Amino acid sequence: MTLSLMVMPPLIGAALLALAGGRLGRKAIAVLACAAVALSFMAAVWTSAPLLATTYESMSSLSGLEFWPQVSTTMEGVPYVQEKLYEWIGVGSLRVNIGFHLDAVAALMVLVVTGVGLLIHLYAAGYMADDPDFGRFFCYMNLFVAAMLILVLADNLVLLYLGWEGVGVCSYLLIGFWYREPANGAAASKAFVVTRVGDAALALGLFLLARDLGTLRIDEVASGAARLWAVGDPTVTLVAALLLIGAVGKSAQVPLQVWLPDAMAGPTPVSALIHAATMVTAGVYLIARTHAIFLMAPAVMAAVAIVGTLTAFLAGCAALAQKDIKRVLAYSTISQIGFMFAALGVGAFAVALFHLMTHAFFKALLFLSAGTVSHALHGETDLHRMGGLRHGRALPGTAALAAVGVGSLAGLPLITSGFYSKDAILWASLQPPYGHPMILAGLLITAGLTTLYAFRWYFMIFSGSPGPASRGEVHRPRALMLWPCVGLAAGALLIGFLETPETLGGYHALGDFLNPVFAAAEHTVGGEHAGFASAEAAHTAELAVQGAAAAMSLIGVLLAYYFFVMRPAWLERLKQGAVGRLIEATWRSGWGFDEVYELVFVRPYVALAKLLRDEPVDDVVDAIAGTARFSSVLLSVTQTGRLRTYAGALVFGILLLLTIWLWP
Amino acid sequence: MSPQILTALIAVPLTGGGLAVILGRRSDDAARWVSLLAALLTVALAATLWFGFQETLPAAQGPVLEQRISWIPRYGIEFHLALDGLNLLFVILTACLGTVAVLISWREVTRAVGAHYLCIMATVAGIMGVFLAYDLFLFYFFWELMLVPMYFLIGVWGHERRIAAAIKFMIFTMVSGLLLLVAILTLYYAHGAATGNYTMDYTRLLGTQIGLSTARWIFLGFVAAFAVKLPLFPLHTWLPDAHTEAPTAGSILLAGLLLKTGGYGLIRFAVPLFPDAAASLATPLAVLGVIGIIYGAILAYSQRDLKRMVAYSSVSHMGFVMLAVAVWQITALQGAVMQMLAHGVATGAMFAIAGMIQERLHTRDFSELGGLWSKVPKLSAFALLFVLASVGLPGFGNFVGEFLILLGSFPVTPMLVAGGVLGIVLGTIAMLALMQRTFYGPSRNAAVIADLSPREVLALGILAVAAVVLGLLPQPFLRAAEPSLAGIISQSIPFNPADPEVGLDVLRTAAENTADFSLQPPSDPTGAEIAPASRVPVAESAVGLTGTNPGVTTESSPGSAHAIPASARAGNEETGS
Repeated sequence: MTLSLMVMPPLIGAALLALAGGRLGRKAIAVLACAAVALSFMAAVWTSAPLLATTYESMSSLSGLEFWPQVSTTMEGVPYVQEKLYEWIGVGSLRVNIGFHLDAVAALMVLVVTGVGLLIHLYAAGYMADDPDFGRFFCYMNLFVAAMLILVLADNLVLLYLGWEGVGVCSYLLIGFWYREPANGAAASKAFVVTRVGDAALALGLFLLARDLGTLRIDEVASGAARLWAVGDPTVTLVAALLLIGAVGKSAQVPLQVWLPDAMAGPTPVSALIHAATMVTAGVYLIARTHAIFLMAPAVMAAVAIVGTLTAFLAGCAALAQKDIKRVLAYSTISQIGFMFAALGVGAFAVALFHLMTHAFFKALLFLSAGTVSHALHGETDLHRMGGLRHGRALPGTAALAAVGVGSLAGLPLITSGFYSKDAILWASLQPPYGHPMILAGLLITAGLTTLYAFRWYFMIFSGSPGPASRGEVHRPRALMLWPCVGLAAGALLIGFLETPETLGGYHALGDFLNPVFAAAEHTVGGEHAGFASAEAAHTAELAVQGAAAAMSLIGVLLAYYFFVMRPAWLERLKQGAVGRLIEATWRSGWGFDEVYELVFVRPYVALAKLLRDEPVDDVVDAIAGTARFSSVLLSVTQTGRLRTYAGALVFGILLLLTIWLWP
Repeated sequence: MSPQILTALIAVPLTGGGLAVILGRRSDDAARWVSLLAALLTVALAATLWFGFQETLPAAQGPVLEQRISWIPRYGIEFHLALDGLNLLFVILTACLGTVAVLISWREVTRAVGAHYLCIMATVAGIMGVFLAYDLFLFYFFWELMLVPMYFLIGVWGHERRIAAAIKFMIFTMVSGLLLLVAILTLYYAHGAATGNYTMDYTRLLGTQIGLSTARWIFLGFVAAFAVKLPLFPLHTWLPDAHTEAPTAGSILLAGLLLKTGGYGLIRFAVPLFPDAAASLATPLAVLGVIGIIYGAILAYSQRDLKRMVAYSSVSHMGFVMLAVAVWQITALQGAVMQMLAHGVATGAMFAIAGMIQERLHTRDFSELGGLWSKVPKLSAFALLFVLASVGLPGFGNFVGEFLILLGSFPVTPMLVAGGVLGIVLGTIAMLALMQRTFYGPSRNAAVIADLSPREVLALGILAVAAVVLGLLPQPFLRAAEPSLAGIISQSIPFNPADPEVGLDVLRTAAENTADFSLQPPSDPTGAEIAPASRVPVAESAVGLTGTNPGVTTESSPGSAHAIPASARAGNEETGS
């Protein structure tokens, strides 16, 4: 019992809440649910510690102790902790275990999932305190944490798929948590179905891998693929493409991003945990986990980078035009995951995970702040009706916390974690063989957009004069809702220093930890001097990229201040013009993907279903029955009971036969 | 273990049903309790078999327990029951669902209670017989036996349009059953004429050598009966009517058990008796299976009636079984068995839930349902669980079934597997719509209704545990069925090269050597030798398979490459380990 100690507490918690939730009091439910995640977090620390100890000199004293789980190393020298529970499905030569595997990448994920998850559980205990379905909520939340941990820890792709579908179901259940509102149910079903389209592709990818490699263990898949296929082989390209479609669905990337904005129908802690910090990044994790496959398919790597960049840009624009406090953040999440995909696509897997981690902190923080704001304003979500909450007795604490989140999202230079992770992505996007200046350009523009919408959001809520909603009495947040945000804010400020660029100290705590897992990628990415002629040239280029990023961020803040605080009227005038109206409408609807899908998929399908509803196949059956009935009617007509009819028929028949017989 | 236990599996429910009628004259409750006792006794017998044969099953390819009683010796007819790993699983399913059916109709049925329980128990007995019979005449006897009580269940205790539904059910099954009888008799005479031994014994009829064109007709006679039961598109139209109009217990028996006799018949009888014919018709059957998966899912989505919706989802789920049978690989067949078990549990439960809703609200129409979660949270939570099981969520048995079927079929026919995967997505849409229309949203019905009673919790709880066990611990079931299925596959040689390594490796060579969709792996030289001399040459059946012109010669037929390239085999051995 090592790694399963992480999965078991939330699983048992969910089961207990499902079976006995109705009989427990609110306090007991909250304590049970939070304790389960806390236990899981402790187990995550306990199992990750020896892995950390293998990386860092300062912790090496840990490694001798019996207390820690035993660490093994792969042939390539990657340390890991493993636990096999039992054989799950074994048919023919395919053996699928319920087995867990923790390496550096998984360790990072489990720490984020359980750590951020714990803070959000605590927040939710305050936020949901008045909800009648308190027990059901925490049952789903605990189940989600368990499924997410299974996804992360799975040592094979089938078990990963179990977690993958499990988090999808929990997402469905929690988006539709307030089930009396039909719109919530529609959003929930949409999320589940759209991601299932991606899952279907993922499943096909698994079938292909199983067919050709005879195994679905992640480590064996990686080594088997390298032996069986050459780089660029059509089969491995197809596998990678299918995995990518799965990742795109789960991580809400173009063209399957449409479900995430609607998913905001769920309670805010859900948005923070599932639709910002953890589940939506599962696609990033999947690609990082199966990077060996992706590295063998350069075409798909390029696709990953392009999808990421495109998504980042499109969603960044859309975020700029949203009215709803949470929809801005939803589009922002899509955009930020686009950054992670871009990083994956240029082969900078560790960098993508770095941004995943910083994003988990600052985006969860932003969502929880948004929840506090809505909570304070009695459920108001329209940004245009807010304002001035920074001042006086309103929400100064939340305003400060949100400022940290917004600054980190915008990547304010030097002091925020978002700066370091985004800068690392920008720098990586230039490096051969996968990088390209166009990707850098796209991401730089998006970085500017990010600052703009982030501060628009902040200013509209907290600055200026109070709006219609924020004028009245403001509901003060509970302490339980404030302290978790402080924890997240601390993370959003500090964890960026785990990995700093060469120009700012070159401290690589995170990279040293993660990179052994991506050793195969390290040989190909960057090369000497990151593809530049000399170390000096590389150094200059890196400085230039950082300068550009910092400038984008600062200019964005100034522009946002100018447009949304100093001259809001000017912007309103701009929006009145024909072009302005068109742009606003397009961006607000998220580039019209929903409308197109409605027209191309939803309506034809519903029409088809309606057409088939009454079972056309049965018409054939009815026709047979009808023929029988009709013949019976025809024949019974002849049974008149009158002699003359029979005699006439007899004569007619004889004549007919004679005619036929005598016909030449 | 005494072989009489096999007869007991049939006799106990039948006796229980008889006693229910007799005692039912005095008191309805006596009829209920005696039926429940008989059902529980059947479960106990099945459990005895399961635990008794845990050691022997993995080793035995053939039956582990047999009972033969001479019945009509002049025509070679015996009362021959046999148990192997394959039908043991179905026996257990039958016993469990029989118990659930008894529990479910406890309060629902108030009219002619004794007769109702007789019908339930007689159906259970008939189904037991179908699963256990190793003599074709006996098989046919049970096959018809299970229909009659089911006809009465629908016709007497059903809902509004029960008579029409019952007649439709009867006509579909009777006509197809007659085709089965004709096919059995033709096989009987063909075998007798060839060997001089006129017998109805299944094991002796295996390997009967019949010309391909004749064999195809006989095969189609078998398939007609089984495909109607399964049901296979486009022979499924009796099913929505019958399921919808049947009382709850009838729906559970229909969906949970009767449909499985179709899948079981295909695996046990149709294909092994006529491997060449099956191979030559595999492509259309597989295509129909996949059409059924997609068509059933679309139709399910479009329904207005809760029970009809579940019924169409059954059509969709059973299409996977047809695909697996057409592909005829061990992985896919293992999946088919799991799929049938899991579908029996999950869909049986869905019908039970539909029945409970009907009992409380007297409607199944979506326009009058909605918002039930706030009224009956326990019932709704169970419904959610089984909906999730039905959409093939990992962790439930349906996932294991569908996953293995698609995994096993993929090397043979990736395009049809893609169709099946599409069907899963469409099925998800349908089942989520069911959830939304029934349990979420605002309540449209003011009636105050009670949540589950302990008896109902027990019935659904059994099924919930079964669904999860099948999903998380499928290995014992897979292991139990594996040797039997391997034995059955090895008896139907043309399908499979005589390769000791049955599994993915075989699939892989099959896929590599067949550019077109061909269900017949090229037999390697050893396989060709083992095939009886009178068998149709490989090339000929491959032509039929790939759907090309029968006049095409071996060279131009894509599926007929005889030797597996050495490189491909080497590649397998290297990567397969």
